[in-house]
Amino acid sequence: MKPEEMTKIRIVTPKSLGNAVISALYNLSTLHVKQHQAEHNLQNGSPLPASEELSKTWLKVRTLKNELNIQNPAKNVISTKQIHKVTEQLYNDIQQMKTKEQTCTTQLNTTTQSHEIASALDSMKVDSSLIPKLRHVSCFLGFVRDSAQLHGKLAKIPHELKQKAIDQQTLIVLFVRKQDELHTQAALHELGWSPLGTIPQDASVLKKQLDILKKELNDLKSRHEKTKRDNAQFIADAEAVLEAEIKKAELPLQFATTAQSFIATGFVPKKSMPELKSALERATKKSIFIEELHMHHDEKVPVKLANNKKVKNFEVLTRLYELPSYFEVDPTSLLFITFPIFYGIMLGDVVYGLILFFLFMFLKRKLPDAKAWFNVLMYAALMSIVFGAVFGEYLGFEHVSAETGQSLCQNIGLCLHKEIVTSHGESHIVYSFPHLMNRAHDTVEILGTGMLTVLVLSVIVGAIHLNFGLLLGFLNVYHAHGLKMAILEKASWFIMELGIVLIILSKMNAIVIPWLVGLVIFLISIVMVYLGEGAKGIVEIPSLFSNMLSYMRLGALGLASVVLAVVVNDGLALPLMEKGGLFIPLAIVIMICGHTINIALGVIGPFLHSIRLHYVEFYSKFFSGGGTEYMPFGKKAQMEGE
Amino acid sequence: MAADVGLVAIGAALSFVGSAFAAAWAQSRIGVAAVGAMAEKEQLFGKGLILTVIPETIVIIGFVVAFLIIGLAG
Repeated sequence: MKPEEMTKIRIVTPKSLGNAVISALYNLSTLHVKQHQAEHNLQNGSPLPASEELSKTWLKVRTLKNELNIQNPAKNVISTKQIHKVTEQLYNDIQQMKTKEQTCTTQLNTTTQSHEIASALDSMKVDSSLIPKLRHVSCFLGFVRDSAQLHGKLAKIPHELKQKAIDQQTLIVLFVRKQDELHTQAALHELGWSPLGTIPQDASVLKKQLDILKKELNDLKSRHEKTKRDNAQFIADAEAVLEAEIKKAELPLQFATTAQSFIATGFVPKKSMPELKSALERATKKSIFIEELHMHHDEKVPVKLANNKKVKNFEVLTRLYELPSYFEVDPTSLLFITFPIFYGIMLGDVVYGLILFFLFMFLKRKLPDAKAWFNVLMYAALMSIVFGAVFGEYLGFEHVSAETGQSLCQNIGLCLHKEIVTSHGESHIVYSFPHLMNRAHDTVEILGTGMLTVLVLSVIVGAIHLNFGLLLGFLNVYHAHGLKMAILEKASWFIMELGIVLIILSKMNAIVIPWLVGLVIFLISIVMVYLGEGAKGIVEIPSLFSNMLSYMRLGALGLASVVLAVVVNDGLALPLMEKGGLFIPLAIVIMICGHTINIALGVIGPFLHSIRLHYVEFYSKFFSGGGTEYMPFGKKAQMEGE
Repeated sequence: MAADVGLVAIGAALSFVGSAFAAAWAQSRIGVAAVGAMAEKEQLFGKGLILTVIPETIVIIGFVVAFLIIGLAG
């Protein structure tokens, strides 16, 4: 019921032994280090000298990991010396390879382009080597964007034109007389003219160059792949080792320092204390001072929930809200008991429970990450089966018809209880399933009104649950602030309930005590609440009743689920079934769809309402929360975090 | 007699419908704010859930009143 017991300790060690102490702490993984807040005389420590080099190498490793796209998990531990050496070499290799690859790709692109142009010139039967030798004719070799208007623009100039579309431009070779050169240039300019800088080499020469470049690029790519294959594991391992080493090297940032020593403060589970002490003494040859400190009640002590294996599943529900503070009761074991019960009361159907149980079991296998959630839901489904048996509900059926009942008794020997029910003014003989209580029909007389038993029982369950919460609240306040506050803050609510019960009983003439006595007790309790909780407490008084009424949802949700199931069975499916023939498959489809919807609602509704009754009604009686998770510095913590 | 039964049923239904709409309206507004807060800080799920479900008490009270109407009317 309580989080694991912690000890607050202070460790003082010479700076020269910092490394040894940090390594020992890392291997132990038990100390939750408390961040030191710098003061005038005690400053925060600075990272160990190795930290800068480690960080630099880590950055390189991360770059390599991204560039080589490595996903391997870390397996081996390598020495940092080796990591520094290999990483440096590998990083330089990869950078060189990258530069080469970039140059190669650029060359390949330009050569490809030149080759295209050269091939186009070949196909136009233009010998590009002759162009520079022309004397009386000017040659324009280049691209125009707008080739459609080419002929129009050149109409007045005598010319010889060859053209070919390349990509989205048109390559043209245009011969004009020397004296028309300027006119031609102006005309081409309007068409988006871009002359070719150099006249490309022969296409066959370029083709050879292209092949060489492609081969070079392929070689680089396979070298890249090979480097990746050979070094993937090293990089993954190096990253893990460096992360751990950096964590160690930066730990002194959380310490306080003097000129010669480190002072670390933190929390250790009490049972791990002797082990921590002996390990640190061994690592420092007893040159260490370890002191146990007193813990204040307002201190943020880290919380490590301590529950057995079965209850541990329910920690997901505790965490979903908030961790309890170190000094208060851990509600997980209470959730373990009441959450499935509330869920069971709300769903309460043997067949639904069975279906959900196997569904959750299947999902647990499929989604191992959400294992704890499905374990919780499987307990809840089991309780639905139990309460389904209590209420005698099987897939929404409370009873079977006379014919089915008789045939069951004769053929299988399953003889159900014979009953006469009246609905819509007609009496029928039915055979009902064994039950302790019928949810939909059993009523009790309260103040002259017939109330459904299940609703009344819900409120009683609520009253018990809330009073238990108040009792826990009493214990919490008693441990934190003493008996007087516990009585004023929490016991006052018990007294208030007593006063109200006395008033009601004496008004009903059930007891001989006059009702004024009850009233006086009630008023005294109000004063106590005011003294204990102030005006907030007075405002909360009506909530005591609304909280109890809120538990009616246990019955109400169940009724909704029953009514839906009955509508599907008796309202839709069975009348169709009786018609026979083709209506039978239709009735089966209706039953499957209807019950699937009801089961889906039966997962969401009872889950949310059960958890809500805990979080809102129950927790408000004792829980303050705000705990911080116990996160020890070290190896194990890092692995768990991953 | 049949008309009386009908009126009782309408009364009970009104009590339930009114409280259900009130709860739904309140929940829709709180729900939006809670989801907004959760988008900023995921740890607020528990708190958000609690704030969202607080108005549900309205519908429970409506439900009880509906039952009382049917019960008291006999």
